Amino acid sequence: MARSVLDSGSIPFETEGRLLHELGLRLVASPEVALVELIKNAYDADAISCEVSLANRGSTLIIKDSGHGMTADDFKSKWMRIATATKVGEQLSPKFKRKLTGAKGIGRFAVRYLGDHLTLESVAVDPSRRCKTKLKVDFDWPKLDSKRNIQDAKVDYEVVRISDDIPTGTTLIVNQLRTSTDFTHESALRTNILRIASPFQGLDKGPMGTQADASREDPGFKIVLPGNEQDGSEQVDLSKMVLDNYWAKLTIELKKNSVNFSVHFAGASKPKTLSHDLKSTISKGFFADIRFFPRRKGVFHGKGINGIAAWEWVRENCGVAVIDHGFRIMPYGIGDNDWLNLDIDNAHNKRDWGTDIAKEHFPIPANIRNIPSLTPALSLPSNFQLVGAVFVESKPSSNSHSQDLIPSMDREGFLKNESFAQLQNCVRAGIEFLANEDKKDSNKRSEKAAKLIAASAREDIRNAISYIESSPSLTPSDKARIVKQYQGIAEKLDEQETYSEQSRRSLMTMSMLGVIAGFMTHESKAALHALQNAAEELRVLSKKNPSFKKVAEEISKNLENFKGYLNYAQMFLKNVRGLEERPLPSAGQVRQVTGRFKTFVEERGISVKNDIAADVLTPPLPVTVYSGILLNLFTNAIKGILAAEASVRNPTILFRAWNEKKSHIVEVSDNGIGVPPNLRKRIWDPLYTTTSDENNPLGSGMGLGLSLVKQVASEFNASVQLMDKPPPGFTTCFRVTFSS
Amino acid sequence: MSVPRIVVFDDVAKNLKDIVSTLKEGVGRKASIIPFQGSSIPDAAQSYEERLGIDLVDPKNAPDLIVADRDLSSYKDWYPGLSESTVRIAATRLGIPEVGYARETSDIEDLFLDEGTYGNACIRLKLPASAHKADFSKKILSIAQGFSEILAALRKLSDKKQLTLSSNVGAGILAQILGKPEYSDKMAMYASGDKNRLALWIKILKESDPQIQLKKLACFYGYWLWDSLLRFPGLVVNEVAAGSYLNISTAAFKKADVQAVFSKAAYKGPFADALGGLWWRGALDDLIAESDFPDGNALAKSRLKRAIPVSQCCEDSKSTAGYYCFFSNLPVSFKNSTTGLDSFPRGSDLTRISRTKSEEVLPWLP
Repeated sequence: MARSVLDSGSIPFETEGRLLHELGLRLVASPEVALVELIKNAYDADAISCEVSLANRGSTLIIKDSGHGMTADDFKSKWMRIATATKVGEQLSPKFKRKLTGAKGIGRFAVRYLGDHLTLESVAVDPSRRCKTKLKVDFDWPKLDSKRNIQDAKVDYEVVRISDDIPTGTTLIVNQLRTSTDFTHESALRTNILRIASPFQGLDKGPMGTQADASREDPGFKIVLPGNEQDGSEQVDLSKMVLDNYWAKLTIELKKNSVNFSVHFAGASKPKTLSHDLKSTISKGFFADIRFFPRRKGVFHGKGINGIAAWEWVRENCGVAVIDHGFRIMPYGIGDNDWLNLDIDNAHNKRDWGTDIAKEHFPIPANIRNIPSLTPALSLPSNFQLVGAVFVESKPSSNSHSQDLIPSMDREGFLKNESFAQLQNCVRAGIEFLANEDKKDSNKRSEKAAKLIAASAREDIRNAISYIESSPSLTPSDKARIVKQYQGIAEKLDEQETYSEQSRRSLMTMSMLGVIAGFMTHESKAALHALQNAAEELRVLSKKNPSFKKVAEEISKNLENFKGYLNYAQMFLKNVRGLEERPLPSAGQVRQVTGRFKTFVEERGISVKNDIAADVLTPPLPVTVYSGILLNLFTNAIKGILAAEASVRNPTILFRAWNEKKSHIVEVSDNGIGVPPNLRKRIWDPLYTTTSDENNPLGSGMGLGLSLVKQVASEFNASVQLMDKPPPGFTTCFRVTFSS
Repeated sequence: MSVPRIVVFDDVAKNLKDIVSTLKEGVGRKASIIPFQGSSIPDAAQSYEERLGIDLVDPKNAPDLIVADRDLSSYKDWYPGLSESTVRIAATRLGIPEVGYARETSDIEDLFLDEGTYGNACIRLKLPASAHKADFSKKILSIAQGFSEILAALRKLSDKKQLTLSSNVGAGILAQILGKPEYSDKMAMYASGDKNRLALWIKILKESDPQIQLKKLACFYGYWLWDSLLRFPGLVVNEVAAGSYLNISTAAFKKADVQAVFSKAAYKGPFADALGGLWWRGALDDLIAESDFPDGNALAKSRLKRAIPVSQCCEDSKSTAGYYCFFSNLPVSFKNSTTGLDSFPRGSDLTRISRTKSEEVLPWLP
């Protein structure tokens, strides 16, 4: 059958008056959000204040601002136009150049949520009429809702000329209130409004706190609510005092393609910092200031602050908020909201980090994950221990493909897109960085506390000894016996103290030995001895039968190599217990490590160069740490060369070390297979290995080497880097920088 | 002098059998090798140390020297889970010297323990592979004989009423035992500042049984000699240190005719066979002084009518050595070495550490 067109053309969308009902009643879910939407409009209108009040015995709600007001034209083109894009183009308010908070052009419909009748009065300077005008409009919302077509939903208005001395501003008078008339009296509502509209004055807003145009001084924005007799200054003071007395302060700044973390512990001279490169999709970046208040002894003690009130304040204000253009975004950090998955991970005792950033920069090795007391992931702060905010400047969704931070239509959070995921990831990574540094810090504090306790115990013992010695009722022999016993206790105390400290650090350093440690048993030595006997027998036999000679020599040589590794491992294990820190001659320690593999590398034609001057000394370090790091990097270099097989000409491993400023730098370079760009980040992952067992006499290893090197180095104020530009002629270069 | 009795402890039956047979073969009739025999009915109320004290004096054991595996953890028979330290405590109480052997140890242990003592109460030795077991037997025999010689000399002094113990460590007595009273002061320097040795000495002074005291004294001087005087070149020098001191290369000094030139200075006292060639440094000085040559090299050259290679520093072949690197066992010059460690005895003025070794090894030492 032939195709025949019966009709054609284009059809516009049509809207019923009920849309206003939907926008007003379904857009927001609570009166405080509705009020805040109106308050935000006042802010955008350059108002200095916005006053919310009740009249007619509580049956009328009035929201009055001192902004620039609206002319009849403004009203027609902006107010009466749904989803106007006016604010999409404008990003700053006309007078004080405030960063505009609204963007979607629908926030004003929240007024519909509050009551069925609205009278809008607005005083403005009308440039076209060259005078001040007062606009008055009446909205009967149920009547408007009933119109079949929204074009028929009309409101009556009038514009009058007024005296120039009447101040500009807009007043919304809401009658026939929908909810209980006294809702504005509820302290929870007031608190919630203030929490949204003027959150955390004591936090550092970073670049988000700066005025867009510094030449126009903004006098500020004040919100006055019913029952607002007290000015809240007391509350602000407490907030500031509590926030200033943090245990630790975490700041995160995403700027361009780099996110910087900084953790400052109260009383510490300088913060711990971390920087991470990423491809940012949040065009304006963000800044976060999060204060950590763990329930630990002495957080508020002796700081001139009422501890009970302070903890109460923390309990009421805890959580990590998100503040967009100065206004808090619901529901982040409010109530039981857990947008960073902190509480859920704490509840599940997760033993690893949740973000790739943490796993890359401060991984938790598998062996540490098995020891709860050492696993920093188990010390992840909960929402109840954090008070802070992430300051953002979301962009209006002018572009349908935009992946930037976009507030959702219902004012409840952001759209769950790539940027929001990035925001979550970066903030969570910051909190994980905080947890990691806090674990290290608390270990140091525990050590210090233990030392103080021990010192006090020793003092007690000394006093007891003095008392006994001066006692007239004891015989000299009794005195001597009791004093001896006390001295014995003091000695035991010393031993215990030393042992505890050593054992903690030993555990960390022990890991450096990796696979070789497995052999360190009496059995392996006995086996070696038996093999040496067998080799000797073979050597004797070879005198009678020369065909054995070659095998005998080969076995003897291999046994010597094995003995060398075994000796190093044993020496290492013995010294792990005695972690005395002292400056080490770098060149000598490189020789000590490379000497163990002398035959191994010579047989494979690998040249090892030690270009380190004899007078280069490390900062004070335990020798096992320095040697362990060198050993791991050296065996990695050997593996890298062997993995490249025949393709390497003049296979070489180069050691360089020098001191500059207050740092000791040691580099291990090789001209082996190199690290492909896509694997550069993954090499730090625990259990990730770049080499295979095949054709590699050193085996694939467990993939723990670099991860451990990094972890141990960080314990001793050092960092490990894979250099982007190895020395000429080399493919890989690892640099370890020890700070003095 | 009667043949010394050597009692052996090892926790593995096969190893015990091997070592007893090795020692028997090595020492021949010069010593009796006896596997330890415990009491058949142990008294559970006594500690291992107390029971061992009784078993060790039993005529079926009655050792002049104990040779024990340093790991006795698999010991069954009379003392399940026995440890070498328990044996050592029991032996120390009775004044019986001990050698503890282990199969292989690390380089650092070689330097400080295997060739030394453990707490001045046990000589540490490394059990070599089968081919070198004859050397091990020779060392054990020499050690047993050495302690017996010292005990005999002490008994002689005691019998002659010439053994006067005072609060100082008694370097004079050791000098008498070694037949070198002129080195008494130098020997005293080897004990200077050694608190552990002084503490041991005080314990011996308090011993009430004169026979046990004599035996403890023999142990004291034996361990001191082994661990300090003969180990750290100064008063006595080993082959490498002697060559270096005489300005003769190590290889040249190994030659029998070269050593013959200095034979008058050879150390022939206790443990001489166990430790290889040793020379009295003072006697070497005397030989050179008497010859009127500037050094040992010139003396040897003159006697042997041929050029003798000079001793070169292990760090710099253009420098003459003169000193001994304790860690590398090589000749070293003063310039290219350091004085080393507090644990080096004060009198060991020829013992040093080469620059290279100090960079490598010192950080690993306590």
